[in-house]
Amino acid sequence: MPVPKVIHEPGAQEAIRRGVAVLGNAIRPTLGPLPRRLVAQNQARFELLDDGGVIARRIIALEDREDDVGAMLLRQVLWQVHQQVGDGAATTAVLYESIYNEGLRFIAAGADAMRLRASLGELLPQLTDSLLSQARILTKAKELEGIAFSVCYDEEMAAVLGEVIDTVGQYGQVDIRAGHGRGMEHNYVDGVYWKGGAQSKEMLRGSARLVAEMEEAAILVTDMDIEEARELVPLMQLALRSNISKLLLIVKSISETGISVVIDDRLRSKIQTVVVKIDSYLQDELLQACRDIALLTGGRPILGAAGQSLEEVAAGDFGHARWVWADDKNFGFASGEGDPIRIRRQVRMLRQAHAAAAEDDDRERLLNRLGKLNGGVATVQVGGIADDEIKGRKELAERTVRALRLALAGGVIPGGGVSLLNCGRALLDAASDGESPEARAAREIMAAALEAPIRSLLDNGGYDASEILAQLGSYERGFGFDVMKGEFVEMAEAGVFDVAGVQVEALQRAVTSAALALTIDVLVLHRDPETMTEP
Amino acid sequence: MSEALAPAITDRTYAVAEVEGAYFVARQSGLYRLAPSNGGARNLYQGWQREGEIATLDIAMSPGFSSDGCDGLILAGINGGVARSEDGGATWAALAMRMPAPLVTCLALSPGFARDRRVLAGSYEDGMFLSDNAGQSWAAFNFGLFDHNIFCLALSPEFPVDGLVMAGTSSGVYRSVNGGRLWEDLTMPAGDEAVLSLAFSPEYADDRSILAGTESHGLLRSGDDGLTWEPFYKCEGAVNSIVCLPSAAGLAIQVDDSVLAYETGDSSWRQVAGAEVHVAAKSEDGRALLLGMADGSVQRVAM
Repeated sequence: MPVPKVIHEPGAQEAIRRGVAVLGNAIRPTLGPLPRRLVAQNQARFELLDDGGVIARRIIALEDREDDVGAMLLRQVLWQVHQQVGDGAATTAVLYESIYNEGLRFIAAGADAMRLRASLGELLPQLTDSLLSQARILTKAKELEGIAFSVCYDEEMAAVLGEVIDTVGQYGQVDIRAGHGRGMEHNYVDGVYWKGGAQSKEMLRGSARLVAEMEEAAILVTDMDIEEARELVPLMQLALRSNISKLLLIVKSISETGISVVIDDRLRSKIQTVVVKIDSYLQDELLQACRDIALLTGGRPILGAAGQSLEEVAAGDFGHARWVWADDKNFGFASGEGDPIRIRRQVRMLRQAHAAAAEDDDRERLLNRLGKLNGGVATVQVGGIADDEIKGRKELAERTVRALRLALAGGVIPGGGVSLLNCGRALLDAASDGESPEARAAREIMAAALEAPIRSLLDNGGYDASEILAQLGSYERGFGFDVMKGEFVEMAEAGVFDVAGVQVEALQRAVTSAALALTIDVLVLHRDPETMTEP
Repeated sequence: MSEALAPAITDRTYAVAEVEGAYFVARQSGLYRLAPSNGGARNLYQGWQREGEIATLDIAMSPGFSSDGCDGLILAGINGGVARSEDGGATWAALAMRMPAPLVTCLALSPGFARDRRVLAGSYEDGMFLSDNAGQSWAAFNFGLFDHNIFCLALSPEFPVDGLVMAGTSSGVYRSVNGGRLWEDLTMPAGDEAVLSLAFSPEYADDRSILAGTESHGLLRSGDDGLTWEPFYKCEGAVNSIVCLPSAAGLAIQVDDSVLAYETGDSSWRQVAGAEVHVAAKSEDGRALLLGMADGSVQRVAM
């Protein structure tokens, strides 16, 4: 049984360095279009992995408790990058390891760790600006395909997802599902849909496909649980008086007695009613869905949360759509009759909120809402030979989509490690004589770190990195080495790009986290630490 | 100089086109072919077994159209989708675009139609539809299009390369840079006002100029592919049609039911037709205006 332990410097720093190296060495070979692979044991099976983020997820603990600390510090950063932008984990690992190791060297030579951390942080805005100054906006579907390929290295997937994102745009809804065939299929659905199906098979009666479809239907949406039949009576009477012959009623839940009212044959002969519930675990999401449906259909949501009741529904509260459908799992509509001016304003507001959102969950929630207001859905079926392969490709497709959205939002920069290399060179050029030793050290640390990704990429491609870098110096800015073709090319012209947002995220997370790690002097090890699959 | 052509058929005229010296006129009561030589009008839907009159809001004909040859493709925007004829209007088929069937208000063929076979159809309430097989099948593409009431469409002369499409809606103008699949709402000085007509400048390759006719804010112009707009001509009425003639001849607009022309080098607009104009279009040779009149006739005005 291990015993609790406290490790002071320099042992603490050495332990972190070893742990970072273990994880870094596992991930570094995956950087670039010619990645080396890693085999990971997963229960009784073995997985072939070539993605830094996935590798970081699989390595949940090292056997050596001391080394484990550094590895888990790095793993946490890689996980965040992977979750946030879907790509860039290998670049982050390479940058992090280089910054940490170089930083330790300067600390050993007398630099103050706290001041060094501050100096590294002070360089970040300059580095970010330098990266973004190389960015350009994507304009062609073919460029998106190129970006997709730089993330997934799968030609079929890159072609499909490049076209899909070109079609649905930065905020479009893309549903990625496990497919049945070997390849990928995709299609576009007009309109919008939510999870939550028809509440009775009776409502789907008469359709061979078990889908209720209605043209020119009225829609009423509420966040209420309908428990008593009498709650529905005034609503159905109003619908009859308003000459509504087809009605989609969207509720939080409905009881059997409530359903019996709307499927009663006498009423059904006058109004075809389909009752669906919205699947939502969170009250806020439910309210937002109600409001968005009402906005798209030109109705008014009846919100119990706001003290409203079904008794006060007026004829003007019904929304309308040209086409409505529901099956046992989902419901949707196309050509809602919402006010386009109000929809446009709401979309602009949500886009601003999305851009300003700091939390991943908030961004995801806002993206989902924007997708619903976007006018259509792309569905992508990812196939493969075995379930594991399909699962892996599906995850890869999701990450690629995330990176493509970022590419549309923030543009792309020359790929192949060239943009980071350019930042490093600019950093050294901007050095001044009056800088503190730590500020000077920070510049040198970052210049070395920003060269590390291109070095790793060339190593992984089987090239002599030092020789290629020496030759690259004679080319103009913007040129780089295409490891696939084995030649120097103008990266933008050759379509070799990285997503600006991914590289910025990788750089920022690596610098802030590695700089913080440099200030750790003491490790406290528990006797029996809990192993976390998620950081 | 104007000449009155064709007998009066008094219903609303929505579109006029000239091909092989004959006029094709889309009206509330159907689609007519007028023979200028004898003034006779023939309803092209005559042999089509459909109940009631077939209101036709726009027509598009293959650039290689020949009534005697192998290319007799006519597409007509109707209440119920797109009507398609491959034999110059002798027989027709209505194409299922989706349910419920849309009211197609405008049609536009790709300038590279001979190669890409792409057609765009705008509808009232149902948004935009695309076909890549000359109108045989259609798919809705409304990504980013928040207003599904489409009044007009205009395709860049460089469409096969730049994929630029502009769509006028009941609440402003949208543009697509990928051939009509993804749309972007644009900000205009007229706010959220309806855009009834759109046209690319004949010199678009040089001046990047696009014109938009609004309901009550006159004519607007963009010089940057629609990103920004400025007033070009202020008037009270609705700018229902814009006709860009070759640069020497200038520009004509239909404001309410009259037509104004602006010749290159002039500093003012002159009235070409005083009243009773339902729609204005360009003649086959591009040198004259075709005016669809309230009495059902077509007037040709030399420019």
